[in-house]
Amino acid sequence: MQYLDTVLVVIVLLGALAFLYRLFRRKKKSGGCGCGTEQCPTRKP
Amino acid sequence: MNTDRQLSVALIGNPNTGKTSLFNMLTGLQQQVGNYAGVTVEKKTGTWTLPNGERVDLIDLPGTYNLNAVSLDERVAVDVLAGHSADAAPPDLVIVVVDVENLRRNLYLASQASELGVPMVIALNCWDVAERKGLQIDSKLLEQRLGVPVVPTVARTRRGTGALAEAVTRALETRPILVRPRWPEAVMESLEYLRDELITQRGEALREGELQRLLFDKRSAVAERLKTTAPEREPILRRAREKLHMGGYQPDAAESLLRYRFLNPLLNDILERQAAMKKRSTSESIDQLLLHRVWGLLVFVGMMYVVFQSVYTWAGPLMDLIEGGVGKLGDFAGGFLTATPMLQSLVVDGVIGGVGAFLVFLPQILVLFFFIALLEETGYMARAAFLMDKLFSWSGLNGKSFVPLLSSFACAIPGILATRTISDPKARCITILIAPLMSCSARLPVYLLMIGAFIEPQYGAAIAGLTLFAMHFIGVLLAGPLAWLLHRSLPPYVTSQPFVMELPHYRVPQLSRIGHRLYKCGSEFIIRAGTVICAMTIVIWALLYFPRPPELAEAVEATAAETSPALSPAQLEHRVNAAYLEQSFMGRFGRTVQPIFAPAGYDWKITIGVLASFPAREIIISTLGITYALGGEIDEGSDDLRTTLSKAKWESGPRAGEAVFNLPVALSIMVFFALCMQCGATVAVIAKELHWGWAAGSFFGLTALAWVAAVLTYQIGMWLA
Amino acid sequence: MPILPMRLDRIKKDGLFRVTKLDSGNPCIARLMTMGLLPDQELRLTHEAPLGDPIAIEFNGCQMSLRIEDAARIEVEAIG
Ligand SMILES: Nc1nc2c(ncn2[C@@H]2O[C@H](COP(=O)(O)OP(=O)(O)OP(=O)(O)O)[C@@H](O)[C@H]2O)c(=O)[nH]1
Ligand SMILES: [Mg+2]
Repeated sequence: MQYLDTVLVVIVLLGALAFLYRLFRRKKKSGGCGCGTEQCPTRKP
Repeated sequence: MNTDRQLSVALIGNPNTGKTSLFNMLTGLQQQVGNYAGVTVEKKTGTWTLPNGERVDLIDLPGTYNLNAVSLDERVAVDVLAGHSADAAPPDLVIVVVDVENLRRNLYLASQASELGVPMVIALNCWDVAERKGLQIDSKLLEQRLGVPVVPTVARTRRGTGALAEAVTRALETRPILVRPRWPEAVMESLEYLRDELITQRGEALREGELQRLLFDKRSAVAERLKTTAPEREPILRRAREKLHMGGYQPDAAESLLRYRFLNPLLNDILERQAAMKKRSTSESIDQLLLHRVWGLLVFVGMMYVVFQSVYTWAGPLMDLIEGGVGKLGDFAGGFLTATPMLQSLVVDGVIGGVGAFLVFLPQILVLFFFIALLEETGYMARAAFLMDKLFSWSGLNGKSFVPLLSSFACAIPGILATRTISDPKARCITILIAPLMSCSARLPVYLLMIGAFIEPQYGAAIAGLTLFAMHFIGVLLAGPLAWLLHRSLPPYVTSQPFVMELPHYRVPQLSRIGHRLYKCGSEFIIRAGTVICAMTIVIWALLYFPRPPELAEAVEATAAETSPALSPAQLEHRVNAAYLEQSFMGRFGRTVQPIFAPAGYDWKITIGVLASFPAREIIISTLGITYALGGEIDEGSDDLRTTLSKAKWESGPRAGEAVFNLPVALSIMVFFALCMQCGATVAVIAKELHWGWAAGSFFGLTALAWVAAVLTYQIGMWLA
Repeated sequence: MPILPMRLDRIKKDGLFRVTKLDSGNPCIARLMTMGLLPDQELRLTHEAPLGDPIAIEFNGCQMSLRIEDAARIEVEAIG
């Protein structure tokens, strides 16, 4: 059970990190936007 | 016609005539619309399917009164028309969107554009207004006189778009061109001179219309595109204008005079009827109040007060509902995951504690955006700019800075983009640099949390609303002197700033549009909570949870058994949790850095909250949420973050046992967040619009400013208390 | 009786005026001219901001605000 616990947490963590990594790389390229309001020229992730 | 390329059709017209509304109707997209000049500042492209099934690229452009192109946004429009935009060929057809109420002025632009040789269709937009006001325009007659199709449309309700589509389909075949003026001899000679010097002798690729721009405009964007160098071309241009002058025409005035002289007879009997309605319009009567020297200002202040006040009073019940839901969800998930304690902590303390704390603020943000949408759609924005202009002018800005600054209250990024409407580069630069001081909606949750925890319970909703207002105002207050300093220290720019701003007619806002905006704003808030905030929250949870050596728990239990054996199991667990938190990665880091923020009254938990929120401000909410959830306050469970915060105590140091959050600390946190540039995206946009040096400067400058102000707030607060 | 020309920054609210002279060298006025503010155009002064600057004028059914210093470059005569 403890093993399962560790594995699950590690998976979630890696997932979050991968998501953030991808997000910030993409943002650099498009010069993106940061707010998520309607006025925003580029859609907020 | 070449068929391998998709045809493109561009929408041009004066500002605020309904180009974007029409664009949205035709393409099904949802670009920003608002009742003031300068909503669109960038080129936008969509696909429009014509009745015959052909698909064309439809390009929405910023509004412009003429092709002289003083400001950046106007330049976008002119560049696209002339085919000088980097990523687009010249359009195959333009639709000139014309406001029926200002026919003459709108056709001036159409006439200028026709000189560039592009085929044209005219959309007589706001036809409904004309009908309501009893304005009769013979569009068939106009069509005959102008030589291009004229189609009445109502972009708001889709009326006339079918006819427009048919007219455009036909015009793409027949390529009709608007009638052009016959220029007098002097103009022709000057143009001939320019053609000879520039095209024949120097091999420039220029159209007739561009030659006219070079001749008529004192400072033409076309000139900068020439291959001929400035020292070489300046004498040529000056000579051409001298020729014009000798022919009896003042070069700066010649085009307006001659072109209107040409247009007036075309519109003769149509304008006659318009002149017959001299009585005051409704807009003007409303303005008698809203632009009044005394009442106007009072209404302005009162309106701002109502907005901030209602953020508290209206949103309350919904917030309670969300809070309750998040709590229930936490309990449920916690019970479900008891077998895997680490995952349980990640889900309950991390994701639900962190993201839930953030989601609670959705209703309040919706209320604020409702008001912003209302102000934009009715046409009050330009009035507010009018009232405020004098306040701006002493610091080197003008009323044009008002709209970008006001939209910075939603988010600094669209605000910074909106500065493209400011024609004076220096004023634009200053406006961009002070825009991040306007309190954007990402700061709202921070204020709401602090005010909700420490001000509203003690002082009531009115003071809470007032504090919120003050927090939004503090940035404005500092922006003034800052702008003035920049104004004094930056080198002056040669041209003066033409500040001419249209006050549009008031319009009844469309509920469906406002509803749509709220929906979009709300869904993006939720998406943001579910993606970025959630991912960051998980990472921060990990940094606060690990490392977790089992020896630590044993050691804490052992010392507790020795020193205070009377502890209940719950209290013991709390001690263990607190010990773990303190030696976690983030905990150690926070305790190392904490001395920097000690003068502002922050403990290490607030310090890590502040540091974690440099990529995006809202993170502080979830960070505090996790910190306190992991620290395991004794009667945890039912408490929301606000209550937990107000119970937090210093664990060690000179003030051990005292409440961490007193009023000065809460204010100091709010002030810090109000002023600090904690937004990676804004820094990037400043770098893109100005220069990375400015971006770095404003980042460090504003952070330093925020620190100083936060320390001052705390110290003065403590001294008073 | 000759009508005395006045500067636009000196006129009172609500009267009807006609433009007599414009300084087209001023970028602000050049802009207004492309919008149709030409000699002989009729206009009204509709609003003054709280400190008397800027002002709003109405001509041809549209309202434009401009600053006093620019308004000083426009000469008008009263017509009613
Ligand atoms: N009554 C009426 N209002 C309209 C019509 N078309 C647009 N509007 C309103 O006019 C205002 C301006 O519309 P926009 O589409 O933003 O105008 P725009 O030409 O794109 O403006 P800029 O981007 O600033 O140049 C909005 O408040 C619209 O709701 C129409 O046919 N009838
Ligand atoms: Mg637009």
